[in-house]
Amino acid sequence: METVLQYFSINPVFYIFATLAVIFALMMVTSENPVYSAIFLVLTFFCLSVIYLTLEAEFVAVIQVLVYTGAIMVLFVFVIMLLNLGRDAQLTEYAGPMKYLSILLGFAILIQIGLATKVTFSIGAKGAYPIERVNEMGNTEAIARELFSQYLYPFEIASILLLLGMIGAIVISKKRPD
Amino acid sequence: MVPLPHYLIFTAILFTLGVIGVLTRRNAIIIFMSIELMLNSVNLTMVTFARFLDSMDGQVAVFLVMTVAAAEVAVGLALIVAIYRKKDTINVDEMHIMQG
Amino acid sequence: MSNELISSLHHIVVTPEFILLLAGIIVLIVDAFDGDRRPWLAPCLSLIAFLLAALLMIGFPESHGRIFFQAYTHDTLADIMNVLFLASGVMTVLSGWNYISRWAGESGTFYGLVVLAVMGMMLMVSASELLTLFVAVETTTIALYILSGYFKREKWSAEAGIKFVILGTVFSVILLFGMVLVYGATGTTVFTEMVSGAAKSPFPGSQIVFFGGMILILAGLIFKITAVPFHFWAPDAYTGAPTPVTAFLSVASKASGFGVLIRLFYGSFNEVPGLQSFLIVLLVALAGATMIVGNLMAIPQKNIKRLLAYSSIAQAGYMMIGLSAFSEIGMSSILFYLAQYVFATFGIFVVCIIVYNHDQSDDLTAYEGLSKRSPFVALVLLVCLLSLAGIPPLAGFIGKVYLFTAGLDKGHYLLVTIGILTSVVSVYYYLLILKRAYIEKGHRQDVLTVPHAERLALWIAMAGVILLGLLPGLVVDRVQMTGEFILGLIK
Repeated sequence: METVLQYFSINPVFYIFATLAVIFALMMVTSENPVYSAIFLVLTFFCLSVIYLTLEAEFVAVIQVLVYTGAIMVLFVFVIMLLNLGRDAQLTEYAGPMKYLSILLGFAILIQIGLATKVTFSIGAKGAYPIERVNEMGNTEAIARELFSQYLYPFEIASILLLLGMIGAIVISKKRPD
Repeated sequence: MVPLPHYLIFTAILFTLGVIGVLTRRNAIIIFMSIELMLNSVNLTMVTFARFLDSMDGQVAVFLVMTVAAAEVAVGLALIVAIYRKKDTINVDEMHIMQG
Repeated sequence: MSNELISSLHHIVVTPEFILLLAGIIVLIVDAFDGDRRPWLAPCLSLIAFLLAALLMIGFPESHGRIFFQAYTHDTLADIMNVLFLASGVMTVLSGWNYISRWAGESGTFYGLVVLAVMGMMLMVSASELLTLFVAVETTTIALYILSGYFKREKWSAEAGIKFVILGTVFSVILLFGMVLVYGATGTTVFTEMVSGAAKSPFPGSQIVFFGGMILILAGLIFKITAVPFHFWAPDAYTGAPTPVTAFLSVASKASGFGVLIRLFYGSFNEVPGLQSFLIVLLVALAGATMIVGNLMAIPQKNIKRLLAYSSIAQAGYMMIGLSAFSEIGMSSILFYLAQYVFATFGIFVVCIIVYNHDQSDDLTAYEGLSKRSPFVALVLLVCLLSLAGIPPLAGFIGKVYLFTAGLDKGHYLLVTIGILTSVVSVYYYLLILKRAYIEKGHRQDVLTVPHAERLALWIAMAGVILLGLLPGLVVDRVQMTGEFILGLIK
């Protein structure tokens, strides 16, 4: 705990927004109404975007807001409104033993990962983009360099993936004469 | 600078919350939102590693993962709409085709 | 643009993936403009695309290599898997020819999606870099989500679709989480570079994170091959999907999972200390559990698609015997087993489709008196079921012997014993189906008509099962070469 406080004085932004993100995420998972869930998720994403800034990943922070909150969450809210799930929302929650089991499972994962970080953990070989170099050329340029050389191939596949997503949304939600 | 384990513990908490959401909630839309939360925690882990590894791969990966998430959400929500039209519910427990 | 990129772009245009991408888009466009007047155009174009892609692979055998900064590997493993995917693509198109247009509507889009799904599977098997692998896996699964939710008239198709999507997405996240841990522990995403990174790291902590990542990746792939403990989605998804898609899921999707498993765990990671012995224990346990669960759960089923779903879980268990052997023969036995599995499974599912087209039922009772209604269809069912059960001289027998030999070679005696015992169990429930088809009298006596497309598919399936059984050398030499090649890379 002491170490956290010590780091807090150096970089309070991370700890404040991490706490906020956890609180919002918790409220997202627990709130009854899907609209509230969506709003809390948006808030979580904003906090995450700030945390990306503490990692000096400006481009990711911006597209986090643009794509996640601006596009994906709008899609969620749109569907909630379209189906008019705001009020009654069929919230018969499943309260069997599974619920407690799953909470247990969740904490097991948590503890496990916490342990993994406790062990003398050294990450792999250093890459070619130390932060000074990235700051010099700009974060966006550094991403673009990688994306359009080393990762051009997955990038192209991602375009096919988007095409499929589009086709899928149209094919599935189109009303057909029965 | 914030040390690496603090970031990892934070993402682990978010991931766990996402898992709990998927396992305990029965509203398909909220399940999808919990999956988004899990994806986001993985994204953050990736950027964290990228920062501490001095590499750009993690940030590029986030870009691609967001693409994937968008496409998956589009297909998933379309299916939810299709089911709601048919059955007037999106509760996954009321969709019983399970017979062992 | 760097030289590497330019040569990669030159290279990629002669790969089967590229042909299928173009063909998939052409099929979708042609169907959008001309689908109503010429509904046969889309399936014909997709068949031509599959054949062209196969010809291309035979025509450019020298196109092997790694391109796109090692993101794409084209080797004999990719070749063999690609042939399997193309074969199951052809069979899916043939078996869906009448079924889809009658029961699902919008037939043209269906074929476009099948072509793109086959392409995605090829991308999966040839991916040799984590990000590429992830995006390729997602491309395939999204196509499969759409295909399995395609059958809207049947009331549970969309429900099975949503369950498949939710579970599939959760397991994609788990797969991605594993990849992130591996990336963090090694600092690279390229398979071949990861090995040296992981093997050299002096810190025990990195090893643990690397192992954890590998296990999560394995979990994501086990979901794909429907092995225990992540098999539970298969019966629902298989029952709810249109039958041609069910067949496609249980053959091609499973094959792609095995392809990636072989690429990941055979080629690269033998050098990481401790990983292999750990994986052997894990895989042996999972293989045994998968065979037992799959075969026992298949016995009480009343719906043929559900029964075949459990049977296909069991088949994944048999193939995991080969996987857990971690040897040249283990790997080639998986490839051989997959090759015969394509024919046997599609043969049975085409019979299901023919029966469904007549009776609109997937119940086992619909198969009563099948031999009177159409001796040919019943014969194909007999041959394919017996092959799945592993009765000589059919291909399934050779396949199982091959797999069991691989297991015995490595001393997995208990596992092979379980395999043999569960095969006997499987003979029991396969024979129950055949008893209905041959001995019991059905209440329906009308003759089953078999349209041309389905007839062709039945002939291909039966010929494949019998030929591979009588002349296994046709394929065995080829898969053995692949085994030597893949393992030769690291020795």
